[in-house]
Amino acid sequence: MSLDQILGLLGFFTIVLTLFVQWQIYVTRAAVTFAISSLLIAAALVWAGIIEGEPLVILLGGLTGAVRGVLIPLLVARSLHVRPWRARELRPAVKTATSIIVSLLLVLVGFALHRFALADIVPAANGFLPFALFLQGSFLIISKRNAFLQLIGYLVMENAVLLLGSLVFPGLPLVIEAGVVLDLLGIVVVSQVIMRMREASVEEGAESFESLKG
Amino acid sequence: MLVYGIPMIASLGGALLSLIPGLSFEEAVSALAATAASAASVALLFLPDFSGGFLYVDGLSKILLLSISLVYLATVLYSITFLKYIANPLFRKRTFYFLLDAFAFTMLFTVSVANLGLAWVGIEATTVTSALLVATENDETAIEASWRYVIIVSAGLVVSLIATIFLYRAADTLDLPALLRSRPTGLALRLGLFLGIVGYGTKAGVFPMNTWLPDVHGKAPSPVSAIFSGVLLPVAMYAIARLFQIAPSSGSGRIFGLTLGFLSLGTAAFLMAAQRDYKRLFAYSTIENMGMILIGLSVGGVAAVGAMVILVAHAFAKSAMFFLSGNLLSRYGSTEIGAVRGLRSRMPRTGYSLLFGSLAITGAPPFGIFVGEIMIVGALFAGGYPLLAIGALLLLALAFLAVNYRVVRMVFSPAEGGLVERGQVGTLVPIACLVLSALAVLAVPEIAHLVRGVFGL
Repeated sequence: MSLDQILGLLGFFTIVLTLFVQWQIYVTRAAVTFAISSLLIAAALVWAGIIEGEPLVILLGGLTGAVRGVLIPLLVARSLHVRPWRARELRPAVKTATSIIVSLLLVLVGFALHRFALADIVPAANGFLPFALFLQGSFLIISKRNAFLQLIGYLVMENAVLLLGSLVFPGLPLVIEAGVVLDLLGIVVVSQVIMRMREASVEEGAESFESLKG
Repeated sequence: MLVYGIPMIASLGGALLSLIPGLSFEEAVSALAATAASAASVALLFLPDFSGGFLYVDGLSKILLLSISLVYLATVLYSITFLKYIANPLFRKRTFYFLLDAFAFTMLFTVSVANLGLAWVGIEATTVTSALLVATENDETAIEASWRYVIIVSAGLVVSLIATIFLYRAADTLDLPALLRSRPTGLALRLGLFLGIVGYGTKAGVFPMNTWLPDVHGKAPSPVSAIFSGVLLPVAMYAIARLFQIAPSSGSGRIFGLTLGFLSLGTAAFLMAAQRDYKRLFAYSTIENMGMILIGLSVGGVAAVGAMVILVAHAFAKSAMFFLSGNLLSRYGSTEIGAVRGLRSRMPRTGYSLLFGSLAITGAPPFGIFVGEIMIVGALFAGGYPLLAIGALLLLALAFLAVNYRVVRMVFSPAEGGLVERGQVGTLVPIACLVLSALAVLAVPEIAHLVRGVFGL
C-alpha cells in the first residue's frame, strides 16, 4: 500500500470519527473517539516508517500514539472523573443537526480548497484530508461551549497538522515534531488546570461577564 | 557562543531555582536572573552578530533580547511589592516567579534560535508558561479570560504551524540562515507568509484575531499585563518580521499584512473611544500599536525601521502604563475610569507618570512612538499609499484623543480623599520604564543600524 493510499484510508476514518465527535454531547465519548483517531494516525505513521525504512517516522508514530492516543485522553478522562456532571454539552452554540450539515460542508470546502488552490503544492491525491480535518477542528471549537469539547477541537486541528507535516510533506525534522508534541502536552496540562477552576466557578457560555465585553 | 545564550540560561536558571522547595528566595533569584539577562543583552549590542549551532543572533534579535530582558527585570521588581495586593492568589509566590522566569525564557529562546520550527515551538511555549499567570487573581473573570487566551491563541498558532510546514515545503529547510541564503519563492512560500501573518498575528493581537487580548490584559495582574503587552506581542511580531525577511519581494503578502495592520489600527481606535475600563483602554492601545508595527513591517524599508522604533519605545512605555494601572487598582480597587478621580493630588507620582506615559503610547512628540509613526506614515506617502497614510493619521489622532482625554480626566479631576501614593518601588519602576521609552528616541540611529541588513536598507 502506497503512502497516499495510507493517507486516504486514514483520512477517511479520521474525518468520520471527527463527524462523530461533532454530534456528541458527552465529552468522554468525544475523548475516546479522539484517542482512536490519534491511534490510527500513530499506526499509519509506524506503517509508513516501516514501508519507507525511516526509523524516525516510526519513533514519531510511537510518540504520537503515546501522547495523543493515550496520555492526553487519559488526562481529559481524569478531569471528568473529578466533575462528572460537567461532562456533557448542555447548550451547544450551534444545534447538533446544523453542526453535522456544516461539518459535511466543511469537508467539501477542504476538498475544493485543495483541488482548486493547493493542488500544485500538495500533489497527493488525498491531500485535501488534512485541510478538511483542520476545518472540522476549527468548527468544533466555534460550535461548542463546553471547554473540554473545545480542547478536543484544538487537538483535532493539531492532528490535521500532524497529518500534513508527516504524511503529506514528510521530512520535517524530528526535533520540531518533538517540540510540537511537548507544547501540545503543556497546553493540555495547563488547560486541565484552567478548566477545573472554570468548571467549578463559571456558568457555561460565560455570557454574563460584563467586564469582558467591549 | 555562550555569551549569546546567557539571557536564556539566566532566565531558565531563575525558573529552576525558584522551584527549590523550602527556600524562600524566589524574588531575589528572579531579580538576579533578570539582571543577568539584561546585562548580557546590553553587552550583546557591542558584539558582532552570531550564527552557529542552534543560535542566530542578529540586530533584530538583539533589539528583542534587550526589550524582553529589561521588561522582564522591571516586571520582577514591580511584582515584589505588587503581589501582596492579590487577595486570593491562584498559587504560591514561588510558583508565580517560576512561571514568570519560564515565560521570559520561552520569549528569549524564540528570538535567539536559528530555526523557524523551533521559534514556533518557543512561541507556543509562551502560551503554556503564561496561561496560568493570567489567572493569578483566581476569580471567575480572570479564569475565563485565561481560557479564552489558551484556546484562541493556540488555535491561531496551529495556523502558523501550517505556515511553517509550507515554508519547509518551499525551501526544504527551516534553518533561518539557510532560508535567508536560498530566498525561496513560489506558492508554498506565499501561503506560508499569509498563514504566518494570520497565525502569529493571533498572538500579536492583530485584527480580526484580537478578541482575547483586551480580556487578558484587562483581567491579568498588572505586572503580567505589562510583560504581555510590552514584549510578548512583539515576540510574535518578530516571527512576522522574519517571514518578511525571508520573502522580501512578496507583494501580495505585504498588501495582506498592510490590510490587517490598518484594520487593527482602525478597530482599536474606534473601540478605544468607547472604553470605560482603563486596563482595557490600554489593551486596545496595544492593538493600535501592533497595527502600526504590522503596517511598518509590511511596507518594509524605512517603515520597518519605524516599526522597530515603535516596538522598543512601546515595550517600555506600555509596560509602564500597566504598572501604573496596578498602582491605581491597588488604591482605588476598581478598573473603572470613572472611579479614578483626582490623581494629581491623591497619587501625584503615579498620576503625572500616567499622563506622560499616555502621551508616549499615543505617539506625542518627542517620544519614540511618534518618530516611528512618522517614519511609517512618511513611507506610506512615499510608497504611493497617500489615502492609507491620511487614514492612518486620522485614526492615530482619534486614538490619541480617546486615551489622553480619559487619562487627563483621571489625573486632573477633583480629588475625593487624601494622599494614597504607592511606595518607592511601585512608582520608580514605571518611571524608569518611561525614561527608557523617552530615551528610545535617541537610539533611533542605532536601531536603524542594527536592523539595516534585516530590512534590506
